Amino acid sequence: MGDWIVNEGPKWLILLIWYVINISLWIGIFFKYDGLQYYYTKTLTGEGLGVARASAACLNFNCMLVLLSVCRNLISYMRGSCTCCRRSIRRQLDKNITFHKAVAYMICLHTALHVGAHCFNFQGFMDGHTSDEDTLAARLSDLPREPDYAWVNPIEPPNEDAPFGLGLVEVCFTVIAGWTGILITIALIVMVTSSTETIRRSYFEVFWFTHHLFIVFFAFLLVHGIEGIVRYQTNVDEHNPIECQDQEWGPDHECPYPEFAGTSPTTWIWLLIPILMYLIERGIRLVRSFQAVTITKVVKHPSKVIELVMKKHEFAMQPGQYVFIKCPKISRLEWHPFTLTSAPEEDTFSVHVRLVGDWTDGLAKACRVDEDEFQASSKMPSLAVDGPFGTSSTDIFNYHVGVCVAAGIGATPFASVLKSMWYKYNNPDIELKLQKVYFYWICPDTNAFEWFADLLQHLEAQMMEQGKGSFLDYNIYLTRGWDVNQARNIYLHEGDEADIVTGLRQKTHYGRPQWDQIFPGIAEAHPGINIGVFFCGPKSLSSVLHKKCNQYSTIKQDGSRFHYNKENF
Amino acid sequence: MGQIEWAMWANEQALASSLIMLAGGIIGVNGFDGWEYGVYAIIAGTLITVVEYPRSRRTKGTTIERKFQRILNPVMTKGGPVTQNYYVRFVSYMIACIPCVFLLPTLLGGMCLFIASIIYFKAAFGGEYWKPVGDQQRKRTLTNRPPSRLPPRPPAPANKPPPTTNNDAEDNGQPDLQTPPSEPPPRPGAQPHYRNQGFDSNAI
Repeated sequence: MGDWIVNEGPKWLILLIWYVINISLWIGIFFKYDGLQYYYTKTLTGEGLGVARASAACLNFNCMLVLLSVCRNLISYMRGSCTCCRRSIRRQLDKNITFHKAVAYMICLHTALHVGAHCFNFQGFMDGHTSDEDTLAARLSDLPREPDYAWVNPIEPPNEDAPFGLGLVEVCFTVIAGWTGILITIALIVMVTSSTETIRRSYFEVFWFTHHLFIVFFAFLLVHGIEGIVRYQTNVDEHNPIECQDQEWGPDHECPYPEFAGTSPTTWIWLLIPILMYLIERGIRLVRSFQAVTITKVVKHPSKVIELVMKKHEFAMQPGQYVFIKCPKISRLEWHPFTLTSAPEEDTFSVHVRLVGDWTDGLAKACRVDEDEFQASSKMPSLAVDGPFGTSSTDIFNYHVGVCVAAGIGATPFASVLKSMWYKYNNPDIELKLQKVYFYWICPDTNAFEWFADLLQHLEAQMMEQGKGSFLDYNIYLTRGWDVNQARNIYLHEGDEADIVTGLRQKTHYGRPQWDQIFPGIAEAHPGINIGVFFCGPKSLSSVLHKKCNQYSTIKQDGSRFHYNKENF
Repeated sequence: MGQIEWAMWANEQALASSLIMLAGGIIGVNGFDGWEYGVYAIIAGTLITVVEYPRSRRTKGTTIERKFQRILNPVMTKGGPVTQNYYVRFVSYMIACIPCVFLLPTLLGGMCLFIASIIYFKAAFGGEYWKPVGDQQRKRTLTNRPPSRLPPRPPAPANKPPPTTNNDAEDNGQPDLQTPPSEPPPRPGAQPHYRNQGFDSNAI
């Protein structure tokens, strides 16, 4: 149980705090509208007013968070350079995109409540004008429109000839809060439908462009409450609504006329700082896009993968980080994220790009990948690079033993990590805490990752050369199995030094790793220490590994503890 | 953006719109003027949800199906152009969103459906149409289940020297059949002149 707290505790604590703030805000604001000053307003609308305003407060809070969670430079700074909190707390910052999504769902929920409640509120305001009976609502709606403190029903007497519900729709468009509300809700819906996993992974550009509707969202959100149409009574002391509601009003009566004022908009208070910070973020990106990036080498790998090796003045990275790249020649607006595959110890930095869509194909063409002759670097397209942005793979150097699990495309960040590890291990000036690394690479086949297998081959060769073979222990699992021809091949070449499929000395395994044998084995080999487990790949395997880490960690003195870290891409 | 299948996004948008229409309809029947349009929104929203729920098979790549969407496959395939042609969806959603304008709660759903119908027009213009998701066969293997046993290997001879590997520290979960080295065989499918290293060994 203690191990669960170590691995999972901070995440659930943060979520709990976030939920508690949401719930308290909602309840607090909801009951605020039970106050006397809102008595008359609620006579017109019913309980819907409290619901709508409570959801609005939660919306303000969550819109603030949704912007802050994508301020990547700020988060990278807090994650890396800032030492204010323990590493286990700072690690939670890696989940900023996950948090962004959770906050977005909360925004959708509160939007639904807010819009639904306001439909009823608007109908209530309209009913106040259209009802013939001498109700309190009708009296309140008939209050004079001049001077400004006299009226409470924000809607002008509606067009009674409009058929069906058109009158209400018309009313909705005449108030600023109405049409801005509709506009931003539509922007929100379009943003959400284009950010589903299918669209994001396969049609990134649709996601990228439509997500910029957030500009429309925030701009009109700021003016949404500007008219202050929800009003409260200012003279409750002289005119107590509960006592005076059935009596005559007037200067010569016991109850003077009620006086009202509009609630001032509060959204700007919540959003000012986040918007400023986000503008600074984009400003940083803009400045970085003017900094020159030179392409020093372009390598064509099998299975439609190209490698770009670049140089940029004062570019400093950590292993496992990612950058955003823009190629103005292809598109002036698109920034695409790529994991860095080079190590910080090198002079240049590199990314491996799979050619899967328009932009990546355009990039390959611009870099003249298909022309075999040597290209002068002046012919290379100009690129802009923003970042690097942090992930948790730098933490591996804080452990004595590391376990890296890469599934499929998740191998990419580990290219950088493995290289960096090897440089550090060989550097006599550095006292490396990390002494042993177990690397597990699970993929259906090595298609599109031949370059990674190449990398492992080189590492292996160098380790053999220097007699440091025990530093890195790697295991490759091909889950797609073999067919008849491959089976024959494997059988025939069993006596060979290197594996028939990958060319590596360590033979490839087939099928999936048996974690229930691997984890105890590692724990037994390294008792009494913290072992960092790093994973990059699909969610299903992530939860399996997470469970195994919790399962095989013991808080006993001589037992080992597995600390689970997941990359998020 | 040329390779995008717009129908994928149109489908998400239309599904969301139909659910919003449905919710708007349920709100609208409770005491609003024009509540009859709320009834319409509930019915239309439900129908559109049913039509939009099964995801079409993608031209490129594997399609992730929604849960239980296969149940609707017969409906979708027998419906012919009504369910499979995207021009039909474009026109019918354009018409379907008009009555939503008459009631405030359904207005939002109607406007979102309008956007969905436009994206469907773009999809139809690109020649897309709804295809049922068949059994997606993975290539290059005889089995769909990942193997848990090793491929067939000859039995280890009795007088073989012990294997020189890095694996002695832990058990990989597989029986240890590693044998001593000889020279590496050529890798199937790899072209030598592509193997330009991304890792500069001179730098160490």
